[in-house]
Amino acid sequence: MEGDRGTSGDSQFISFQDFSPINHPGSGGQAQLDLGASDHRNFGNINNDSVGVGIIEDLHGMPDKTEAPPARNFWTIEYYQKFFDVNTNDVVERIKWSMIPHGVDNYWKTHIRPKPDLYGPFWICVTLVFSIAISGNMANYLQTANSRNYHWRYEFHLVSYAATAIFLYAWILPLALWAVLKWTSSPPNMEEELIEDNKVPGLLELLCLYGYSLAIYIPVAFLWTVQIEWLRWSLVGIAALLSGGVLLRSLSPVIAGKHKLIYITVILGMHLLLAAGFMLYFFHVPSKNVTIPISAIVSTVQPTVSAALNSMNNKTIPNVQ
Amino acid sequence: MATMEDTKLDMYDDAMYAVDPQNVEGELTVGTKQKANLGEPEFNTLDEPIRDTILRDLRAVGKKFYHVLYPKEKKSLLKEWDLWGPLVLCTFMAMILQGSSDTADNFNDGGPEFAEVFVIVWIGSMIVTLNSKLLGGNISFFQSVCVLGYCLLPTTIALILCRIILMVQQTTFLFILRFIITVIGFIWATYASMAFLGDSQPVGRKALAVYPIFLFYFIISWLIISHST
Repeated sequence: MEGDRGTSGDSQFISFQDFSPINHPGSGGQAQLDLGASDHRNFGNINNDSVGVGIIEDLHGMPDKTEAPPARNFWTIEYYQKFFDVNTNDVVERIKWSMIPHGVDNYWKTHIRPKPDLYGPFWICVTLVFSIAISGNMANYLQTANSRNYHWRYEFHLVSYAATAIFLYAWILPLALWAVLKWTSSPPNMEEELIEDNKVPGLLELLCLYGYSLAIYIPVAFLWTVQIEWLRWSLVGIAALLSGGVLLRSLSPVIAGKHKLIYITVILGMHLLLAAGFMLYFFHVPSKNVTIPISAIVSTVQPTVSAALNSMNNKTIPNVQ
Repeated sequence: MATMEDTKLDMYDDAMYAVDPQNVEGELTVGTKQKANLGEPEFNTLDEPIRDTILRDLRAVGKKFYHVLYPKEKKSLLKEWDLWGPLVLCTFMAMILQGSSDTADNFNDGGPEFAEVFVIVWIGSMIVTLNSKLLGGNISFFQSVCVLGYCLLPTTIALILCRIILMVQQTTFLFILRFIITVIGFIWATYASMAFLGDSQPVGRKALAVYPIFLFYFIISWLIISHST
């Protein structure tokens, strides 16, 4: 009996071991590989056959389509490496041209379009969050340094507020813009659109564009610590106009239409609103400077006042009686 | 069925499982000679005193700290990673840096909370590592986290010195002194981590990988200089 049981258990064990190594490299995996290869071949054929599309794509200069990069799994790091495929001078160029509106050169087409990345937007947002928090604290210190008896404390949680504002702006606005452009764009007259180069920008491109457009606020955030009111407000205006100008110039072929004015006001208005919001919330002096002393004064004064009132009441009431 | 049987036999032979599972024979050896490489003495860790085990690990951690303070040899920190040093440093910094939420005058201190420092250090070093992986650097995830964590040591020393300075009455000179100490700690940490991690990147992208490291230590140094009583 024991021997029997042993062998049966044994065979189960072995058969279980059998399945995985033999099935995988044998039939299943091979079949999958074949499928993948044939798929690629099919796509290649289609591209070659339909001459029009092929030529248009060549005109566009989209090397990634023709090369047919190997499809990576969504969960691997290699899948995301294509969003970070930039070199140092690419990033420097993109940051530089995101601040300088250029009449002839369309920033989006020449810089972003060929290879949108997420490195720049992400690190620009992170840098902006911390530079606003740091310089906001510095500004707050400079404002209160003169008043002797106020014990200055740094406010770490500016980081959270700044992060919320900036990441919302850098994600929600491109998303909304992308959705609006996608659903209001004219019916897909494919070839004409492609030739005119007015294709609706992809989400990645818009994210990249908006991320780089925030770069100008990093140096401006440190300049905002200077305690000259007219200088700070003119910095708000200049920064918003410069990078907003680049944004508008980049998107002008896409948003040309009957709603053009609405697009322009929304894009530029939001950009200006963001800058003004930073300025008012993180750097503005009087509101904070006034409220804190008042509350402190009230809290110190209140007991004495109420005590005085009480004593007065006690005195006056007998008088009346 | 016949093929199954054949393959089964093949498997048996390949895997060298040709032993009767009922009565297994063999010698139970721990710590074989192949494991004891890289200049380690041959020993059996199973029957050594606990003190030796702990001391050996402590010595490994201490050696890594030494290499951070004196970043001469590049490969020393990358050979074997551990996260003990980062854990100790991070916990210590979080304890010192945390702002007390209930002071006497009921003003919030404004400093970060314990968990926030913890999150900044760990998530920050993970994001920095992920960034260098995404840029195509050839370094394992935990190696990089280990190096970034160990390189917090100069900033931690700066924090201790600042804490000592904060005990006396504050003047402008003392603030400048704290500032200088923090800057030195920051530069030291950035330099050390670049010495260990700098080579793992492709040529044109070194600055892209170094910038987040710089930012990471910059933020931690900001927390240190802003910390006041």
